[in-house]
Amino acid sequence: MAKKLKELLKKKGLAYEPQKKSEENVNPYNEDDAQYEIERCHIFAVTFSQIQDWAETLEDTIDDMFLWIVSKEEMIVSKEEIS
Amino acid sequence: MAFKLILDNSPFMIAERSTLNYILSIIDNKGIKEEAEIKSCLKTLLDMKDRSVTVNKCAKLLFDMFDDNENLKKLSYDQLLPIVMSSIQFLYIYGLKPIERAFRRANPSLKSLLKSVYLKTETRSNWGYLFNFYPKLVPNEIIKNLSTYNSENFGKKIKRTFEEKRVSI
Repeated sequence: MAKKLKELLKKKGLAYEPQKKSEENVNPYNEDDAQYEIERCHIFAVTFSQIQDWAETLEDTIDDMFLWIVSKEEMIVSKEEIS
Repeated sequence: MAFKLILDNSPFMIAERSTLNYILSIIDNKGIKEEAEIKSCLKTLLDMKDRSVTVNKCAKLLFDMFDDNENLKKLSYDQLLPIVMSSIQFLYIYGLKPIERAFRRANPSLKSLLKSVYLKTETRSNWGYLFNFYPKLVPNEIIKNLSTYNSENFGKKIKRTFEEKRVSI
């Protein structure tokens, strides 16, 4: 019954046929692909690198605030305190 | 794509944006006057410095971990995502959350100090980078650069890449 219905739909041009993917739409990265392996982890590595850079900038800003107090208050800071 | 959505909606990014908002509101506030007792901020500043070092060092460790991905090769993308999510969560709880709280509850001395430092060092590049932080995902470019760098026909490939880009534009 299902087969007959399928044939009938095909004759009428209504049968569903999965479209073949064009070259542009094919995902270039296969799970087994070595490049995909590198890239997958690189997404995360690059993101954490950017977060690190930002945190470093924030650290510099806080350091500037420290220096401001030290210069304003004419505080004597020993090497031990700085480290 | 999934990672980008997770990152953008993570508490870390939300805290980062609100920290910057607090800093901007302090800097732009014309009502803040110079306080004499800025020395009282030292302890808060020490704590903030400590937390920012935590974010810096942990992010460096995570970068190294994912950059040298020998140990992570066997894991699928779905298995990697929870690791990344918990790492971002760690950065937020132990690093950025206390910093955000410090700026939110800043006393007049700290506000005055921040404003004075900003006015004095306004032209420094660190302010620009601090306010324009937005992590971008650039994996395709990395792979493209790696493959062109490793290939023998380096010059030809570079030329081809430029031509492809020009066509796509």
